[in-house]
Formats: sequence, structure tokens, C-alpha cells
Amino acid sequence: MTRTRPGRSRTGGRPPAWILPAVLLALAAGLVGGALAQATDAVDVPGDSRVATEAATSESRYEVEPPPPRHPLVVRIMEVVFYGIIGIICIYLFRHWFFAMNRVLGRQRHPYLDIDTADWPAVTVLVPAHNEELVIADNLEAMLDLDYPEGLLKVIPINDRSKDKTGEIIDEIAARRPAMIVPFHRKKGADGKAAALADAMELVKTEIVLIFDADYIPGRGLIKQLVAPFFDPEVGAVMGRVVPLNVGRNLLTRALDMERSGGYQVDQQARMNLHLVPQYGGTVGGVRKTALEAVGGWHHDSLAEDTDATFRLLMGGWKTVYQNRSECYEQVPETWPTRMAQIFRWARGHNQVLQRYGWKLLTNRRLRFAEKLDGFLLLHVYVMSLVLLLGWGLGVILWYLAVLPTSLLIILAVTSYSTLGNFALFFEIAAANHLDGSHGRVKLLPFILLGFLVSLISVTRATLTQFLGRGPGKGVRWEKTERTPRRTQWE
Amino acid sequence: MGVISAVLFLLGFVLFWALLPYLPGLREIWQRTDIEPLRITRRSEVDIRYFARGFRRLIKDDVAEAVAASRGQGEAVAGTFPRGDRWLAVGGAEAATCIPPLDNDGVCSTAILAGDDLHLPDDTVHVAEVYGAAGVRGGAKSVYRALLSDGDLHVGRESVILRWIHADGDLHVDTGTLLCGRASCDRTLRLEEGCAFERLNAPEVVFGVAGGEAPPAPPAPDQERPLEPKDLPNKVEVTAHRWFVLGKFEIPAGRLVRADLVGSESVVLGPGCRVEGGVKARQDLEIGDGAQVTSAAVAGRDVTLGEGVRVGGPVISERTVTLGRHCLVGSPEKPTTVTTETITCGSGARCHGTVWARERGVLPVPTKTEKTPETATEPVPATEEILS
Repeated sequence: MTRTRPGRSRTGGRPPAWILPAVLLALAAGLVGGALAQATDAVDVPGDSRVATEAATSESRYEVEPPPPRHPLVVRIMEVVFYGIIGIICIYLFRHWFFAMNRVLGRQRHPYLDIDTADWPAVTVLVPAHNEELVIADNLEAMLDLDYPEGLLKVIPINDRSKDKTGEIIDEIAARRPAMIVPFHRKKGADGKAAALADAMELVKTEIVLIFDADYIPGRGLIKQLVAPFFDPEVGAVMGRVVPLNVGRNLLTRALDMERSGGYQVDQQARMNLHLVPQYGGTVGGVRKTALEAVGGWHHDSLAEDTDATFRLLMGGWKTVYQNRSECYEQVPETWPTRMAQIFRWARGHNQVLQRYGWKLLTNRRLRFAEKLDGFLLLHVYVMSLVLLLGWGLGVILWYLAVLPTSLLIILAVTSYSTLGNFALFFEIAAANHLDGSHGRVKLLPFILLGFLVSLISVTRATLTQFLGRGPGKGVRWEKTERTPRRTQWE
Repeated sequence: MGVISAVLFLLGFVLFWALLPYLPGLREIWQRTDIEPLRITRRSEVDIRYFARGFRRLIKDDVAEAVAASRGQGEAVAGTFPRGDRWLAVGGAEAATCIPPLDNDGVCSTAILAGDDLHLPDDTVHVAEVYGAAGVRGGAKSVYRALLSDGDLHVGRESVILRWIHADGDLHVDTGTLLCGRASCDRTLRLEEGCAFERLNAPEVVFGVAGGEAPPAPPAPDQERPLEPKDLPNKVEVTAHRWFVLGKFEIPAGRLVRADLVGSESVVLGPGCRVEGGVKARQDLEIGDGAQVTSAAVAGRDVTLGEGVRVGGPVISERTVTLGRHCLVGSPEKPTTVTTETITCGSGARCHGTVWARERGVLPVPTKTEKTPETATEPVPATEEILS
């Protein structure tokens, strides 16, 4: 199902806020890279330097040394940009390597994990469902089995204008526990998950709101684990770990399983360990209602309401907590077109957040430098595909112009290979598989290259059409991820 | 070698090296050895009573009749569990003065199951579980793998519990004992001075007996004159019932705050304060004597609770928690959790719910000035000495 989203860019006619810092960063990295390269050129091999010096000295008695060849200005600019791109990619490379090392060797933070006894607060669970007849029943059956004090848990399945049997299935299950499951049949309103959530929030009377997509199956104790961090008055959002259930379907699902492992087991937990910016992911998580309202609630026109909320909460002085051991099964896409559509939507949503909050993030006074830097790099993850392609193009052109040594192209290829891929990168995936004890599936690591190339194309397409064609808020369509019938069972 | 052969050889060589990393993956795709979803953590596995329930189930399924038959009998009955471990069911006088069967190496590797009150001798090492259907009284300076009692349970001084211990009634742990793993009961769990622990759970957990009566409660804060954000010298941002305070700050003694407090650095609550909400310090949190926090007390580093402090919600610290004498965390109606790396508990402190020290919790041996006549006994050895 495809949705059309209204709305317009919040930056109006101004250039995107991310451009200035991105250009500055690229230029700075380029200058450093260029200077290093020149310094390298100036140093000859020790054995040859003596000969070279002698030759230069003897020749200089008779003639003036010829000046080094000067390239046209355009080529010099291309060279600086190219060095800048290599510099940026190296920054990301180091970031992901550092995260992986932190997870394997560093101190791990799970401050709220052990809260098993408490005066548990009332909680509302929202389950947005748009044409989810294949999966909604399993979700709600699991909700009926949750371990949470009687009378304190309310589940609101949001039947968001479904045209299949989603509404009937919800009503049928709700009839068994009408006090606990209170359906919300949304007949009209704006498209998209954010809009559905915003409407449903009017029915929420509790301070804590948890959100599960319809294809997620919470374990019995998951609600308590996700609620526990909210005892901390600084916590505005909580995120649990997503674990793919349909792993064995095909190569794509196996690759996505590894990507998810890298993204959650390493990337998210490392950010939690380092007090950086763990991300609320829109499902298997929740928000503090008053905190979200204080920063503007769900934005109807947001394509990635989760990232949008994460950054607004962050800038508003609220923390997002990642709970690595609060795990929940999901179904990952089983076909490449579905995967590409998913990536496309994520990229556009992410870039939308970048455009809205990139500059505000850097100038926010509540945040530490490390948080700003991590948030800034996180916001640019999807722009990196475009940057990477540009780097490759420049590298080839400059090499044919005999400006670059081959080694730089190799550096670009290696660093970009290991840097990009929708957060879940090669070091991180390898570390995550090690931590998960998955010794068989890690052999598939080279095949992540396939996902990497697909991501590269989808993300670049999304970014180009977004920034060059139309503003991020214009003409964007909300693509729902297609479901497949559940085939795998678990205990 | 012709040019074409050389080019083909080069291409083949390059292709071989390029595809080499894919070979294990291709094999995995073909054989599908690791295609199950990752196993996710189940709630039952973190339930503190998980092992106790499992052992009780084992008794019920396999030896319930033998244990029932042993009640009031003076004769022991022996057998083996389906897993091959030996058990010995005792009752009556045999249980009251139980002499565990020792192996050649001087340890008891037979599970002791008692239908009546079980009394165990001093200086014994039990590497199998011990169960008492009525109650269990463990001897001093003994080592136990696990202890389960349907009634009350007493652990003798300077003992070591290696894995878990549970009592359906009261659990009393005598001085200098080391509790590794999980310790729980369904009524009151009392630990004496010199004990060390990891994870405790009970409706009421009492630390020590020394220290005498609780100090008198400080006067209640003035309800009519609560503290306002402008009363603090720091910059305060107020959103959603929360004060976000930049920099270190201190709430003056005896003041009332009707908000959640979040400090970007360390936070000090003066003696006798009352915070109607939670308190979070990104660095250290110090709560003065007699102060009250109705919800959670959270710190990125250390939490220090003074004498007679009351905290209604969880106490969460990423480094250490110090519970002052006669502190109270939670209540019988609203049990809660104390969780941190290391905990130091003052005498007379009480918690309702779970106390979880990921590294170690300790009750220091009181100094001479703290000792009351009843507890002024010989010094208790450190747990390291016991283990050695």
C-alpha cells in the first residue's frame, strides 16, 4: 500500500541546514588530506634522497629548477573534494571500528536491566496496523499473554483505514479482553504511521506509551523491561532490540539478520555505553508522553517519526535509552523490491530529519560535544551513499588525469566498502555475530556486499530525488513494508 | 606462454583471490547450518526464583513420595535422580541431627532431602543441593551449592552459598556469610554484619541488627512553601513536571520540591528535604539524613543515602550505592529495586523488593562505637578469607 503525504519543507526556501557543516567538514578533511599527500610527496626514499639532492644541487648551478606542474583550478577543486571525501569516509570507518571495539572490549552499560520489582506504572501499548491481516493476530495474542499487573496495561490496536480483514481480527480478539484491548478504528486523517500515532495519542491517558509494529511478537516480560528505564526522570524514550524471525528464508533475510545484529548488538549498544545518541526505532520501544508533548508530539509529516522524535527529545534534554536484552522478534523483508522500498523510505525520512535539525543539533547548548558529533554523523549516514558515489567518480576522473596515485583509489574502495551499509557495517556485524555466538552465519559476511550495493543505489536515489528534485516534505510517499505470512514458530 | 594464456591466467588468478572469501559463505548457503533465529532472553531466566522452582519441580516429580515417607521416620532412604545424582531422604531424629554422607575427599555430593526440620553440622561442604520440607538450619563455616526450604531457613556464620538459596518463610543469614548468586525468600530476609551478596529478593530485606533505634525523623518540610526553580542559583529549565538543572546544585535542608529533578552534574539533597517525584544526577547523588524521595533516585556514578533516608522508587546507580543506617527503600505495598555495581549497606537499612549488586554488596562489620552489646562478638573474617 502506498500513501501520499502532504506537508512542506520546514526550511522554506533556505538551503538545507546540513550543507554548511558538511562542506566545512569536507574542506577541512580535504585540506588535511592534501597537506599530508604533499608532505608524503616531498619525502623521497632515503636511499634515493641523497642522489636526488646531489643531482638537484649540481643542476641548480646551471639552470633554474622548473616549477611543479599546475593543474587547472577545476582539477584542484576536484582534488580537494576527493581528499575530503576520503577523510569523511575515514571518520565513519573509525567510528564503526571504535563502536565494535567498545562492544568487544569496553565497559557495558545496562543500568535499568535489573529492575525486576517495582511499583509499575500504567502503560498503553499502541499497535499501528494498516492492512495487517497476515500478522496482527499473532501480535495481539502475544499481548494477551504479557506479564504486567492486571489493570495497568491497555493495548490500543490502531486499525488505520485497513481494506483487508485487519479490523475484524482486532475486534474478534479484543472481545475476549475488552478491558485490556481497546481498538481504535481510524477512518480518516493524514497518511502515515506518524499521523496514526498522533491521532491515537489523544486516547492515551498514561504517562508511558509503548509502540509495537503489527508484525512484532513481544515476549512475556518485555513490557516491564521497556518500562523500567522510565523510572529515570531524564529518560524520554526507550528502544529494545529487534531480532529477525524469518532468518532462514533466503540470502536476503540472512543478510538482514546480520545487519540487524550489527545495528543493535553493536551500534546501538555502543552508543548507549558511550553516552552518545542511541536511537528510538519506532517499534519495540516507547516514549514518555509528557516529554514527547513537550517537544511537539508526533509530527504528521514525518517519514521517519522515530528518528524525528529521537532528535527532538535529545535536543529537549531527554535521553533515549537502548536496552539490548529487551528483545523482540520481527519479520524482515523477504524480497529485494520490498527491501529497496524500505531503505528508500528510511533514507528519505532520515534526510528529512537531517534537514530539519542538523544545524539546531550543532548549536544546542544542552548537549555535550560527543553527543553532537555522534548525532551529526548519525544524521548524515544516508547522505554518505551520495558522497561515496561522488568520491568514486572523482577518483576515476582524477586517476585518468594522472593526478592521483592508485593507492588513494584503493583506500577509497576499502574504506567505503567497510563503512557504508545502513549502520550495520562489517566490523560491527562481525563483532555482533561474535557476541551473539553465531558462528555459522558469520561466514556470509562477504555477501553483505550485495546489501551494500542495493543500499547504495536506493539511498542515493532517495537522496538525489529528495535534495535535487523536490524538498524532503514534498511529494514524499509513505511506503508500507509488505508482509509475508508467518512461517517460523518459536517457543 | 602466449599473451592470451597469460591474460587468462591473470584473470583466473585474480578471480580466485576475489572469490576466495565467498567460499565459506557459499558452503553455508548450501548446508544451512545456522538459520535459526537468535534465541531471545526469556523472562523466566532472570526470575530470581527460577532455580529454586526448577529444583522443587525435580523433587515433586521424582522424590516426593520418599520425602513424604521420611517424615517422622528415623531411617534414611537413599536413591538417585534421573540425571544420575544421588539423594538421601531423612526425617525425624535423623533430620534433626543430620550427619551428611561424605565422599573420600571430605565433601558431601549427595543431595540431602528432609521431610522434617533439618539441622546440618558445622564445617561441611555440600556440593549437591539441600532441601528441607519444614525448615533448615545450616551449620557454621559450611559451604553449600544450593539451599531450599519450604519453611524458615538459617545459614550459619561464615558460610558460603555457591549458587542460590530460597526459603518460603524467613531467611536468616548469619555473620560473615558469602551469598554468591541468588538469595530469596517469601517473608523477611535478614543479613547480619560481615555478609556479602549479589542478588537478594524478599518482601522485606533487613541489613544487620546493630545500630540501635532509628534516628528521630526530621521535621516535615513546610508544605505551604515549596521550593521554586527561581530559588536555585543554577539555570533551571522546567518542562513536563521536570526541573532540568544545569551544573552542580544543592537543595537546601528541609525544603519541599514538587517536581522531578534532573541535574546535569552532581546533586545534593539537604537533610530533611522532601522531593515529590524522582531525582536524577548525571554524576553523584547525595541524599542527606532524613530526606525523602517519593519516586526513583538515579545517578550516573554514586548514590549515597544518609541515615534514615526514605526512597519510594528504584535506586539506580552505575557505580556504587551506599545505604545509610536505617534507610528505607520501597514499602511493603510498593516493593522496588536497588541496582548498581557495588552496594554498601548500613545497619538497620531495609529494602522491600530486590537488591542487586552486579559485582558485590557488603555489610561492613560495625566499628566499636556502632556495636551494641548483643552484637559485640569476635571480629568477622572477610569473605575472601572464608573462600580461601
